[in-house]
Amino acid sequence: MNLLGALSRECGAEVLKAFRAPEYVIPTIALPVAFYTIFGVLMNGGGGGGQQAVYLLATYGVFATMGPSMFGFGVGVAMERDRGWLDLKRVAPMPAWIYLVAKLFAALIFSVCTLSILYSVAGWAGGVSLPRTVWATLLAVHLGVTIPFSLLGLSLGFSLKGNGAVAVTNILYLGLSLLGGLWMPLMMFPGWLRDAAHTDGAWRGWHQRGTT
Amino acid sequence: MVFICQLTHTRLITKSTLKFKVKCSKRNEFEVTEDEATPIRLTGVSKKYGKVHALADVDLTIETGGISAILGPNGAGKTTLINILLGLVAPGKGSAQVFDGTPGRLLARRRIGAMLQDTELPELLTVAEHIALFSSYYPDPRPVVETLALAGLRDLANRKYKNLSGGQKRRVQFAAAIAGRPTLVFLDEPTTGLDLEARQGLWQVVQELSDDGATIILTTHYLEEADNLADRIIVIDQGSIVADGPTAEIRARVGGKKIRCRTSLSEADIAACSEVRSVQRAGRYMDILTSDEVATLRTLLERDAQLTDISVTGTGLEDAFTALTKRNAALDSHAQTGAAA
Repeated sequence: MNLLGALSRECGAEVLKAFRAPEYVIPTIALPVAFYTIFGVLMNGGGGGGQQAVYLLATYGVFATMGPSMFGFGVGVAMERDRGWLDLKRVAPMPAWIYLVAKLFAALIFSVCTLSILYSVAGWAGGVSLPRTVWATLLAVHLGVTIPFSLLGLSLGFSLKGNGAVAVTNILYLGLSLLGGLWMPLMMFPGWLRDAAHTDGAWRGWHQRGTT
Repeated sequence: MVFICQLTHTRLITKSTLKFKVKCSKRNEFEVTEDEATPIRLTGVSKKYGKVHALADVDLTIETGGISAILGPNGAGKTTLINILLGLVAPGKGSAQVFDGTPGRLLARRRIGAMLQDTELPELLTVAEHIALFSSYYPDPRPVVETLALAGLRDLANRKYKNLSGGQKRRVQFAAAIAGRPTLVFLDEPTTGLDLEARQGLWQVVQELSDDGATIILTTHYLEEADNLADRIIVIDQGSIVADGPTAEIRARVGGKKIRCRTSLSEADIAACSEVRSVQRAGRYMDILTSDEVATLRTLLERDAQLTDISVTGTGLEDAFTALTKRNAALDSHAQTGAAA
């Protein structure tokens, strides 16, 4: 069997599926871009430059990458499992990893699209100017976010039914983003919420890496 | 192999020519030498879901070639049987072998195509994209165009799956099952939701695949479907195989007529007639399955002057199952009355 052929077909199919679903495209691309433009650029007085502008780009970039991986895996796998599609895949002579790699590939393609819009907005209007190596590091960190959130999504997709997965993924996506300080810095939270946010240790790791 | 799809469309050349041509092609010779393993061998397979026996001690061997129909009422265990053979479900007890090895292993899957029940493909891909994707999994797939033509989907190639009718979706699933040129094809209730024309079209393609040497296993609850297609019928009820044999033989066992009437005769009296297969009281009526309705009616009319409300109908599948599943019980009671006399 031509594994490479199957893999490229599978990746192509996943990307097509994702780009043809407005209910997936709009929240995952438009939401982070809109949020960043409103909170990171307009309400921040054109970004104002400096550390704050970089901080906001770093956190909204993570927000932008979380969406495709959590929804692609969480909702995607739950739906396809519900519909019996996964059973047919298991019967087909295709190793399971191809399915997972293709979903990861689609999440990465999506993230790259959103991030390139986000970086453009940041560069032109958000007052962010960074050396090329820092841009590259930022991109690597942002794309790296895909891995843990894909795994989180995958465990949701395999433990929940279709509609339940949509609800839980949304709650986790928005909840983790808020608590992770992705929309606004943690110090702007009331004390009790800040304490709650600090319990999210793994999350803080990403966010600190983004700010340094 | 392009000629196969041409054949399907022109339907001019006879099957024997088709067979001859396929046998001449190099690819087929290769498959024949590769195909010495027994496609299916189940020994003492049982499967329980909770306290329900989905399968109880099933022995079944299916050799290469031919169309076998697994027939049974809903919940009889047909789908469990298929799922065990596909490696989706592990047998609780006993051994299941597909091509002389564990079901579901990659080497077996490469030679298998399957159409499952309750399966929906992703909605946003087109028919052609689905088939191209499925073909890419197999080592030696049919060209996509050919698969589409075989499943009667040429005009729908660029339509998204979500915009298809139920029957069209079923045909896409069928196309996916045969895309990889499998030598063992599982079709679980393949024609549910298809109209008569589409059903007959599918039967024809299944027949052609079989003529090409593929082993076909289909489940159905349409007796007509089994009758039209299968060389062998396996009747399964409450997890056990209750009948297994060539189609003609099974048909002879379940064929015949059903007489419904009101009579003062007892069940045992009627069952004593040699041509009567089973007798069952249904409220005020008596349901009699018989292989010779004329002889039975004559006996009934002779013996019972009060015989009324007579109707004679062909046996439906339900009656066939009743006959097959109650046959053993009827024989037992026969034996008992015989002993008492």
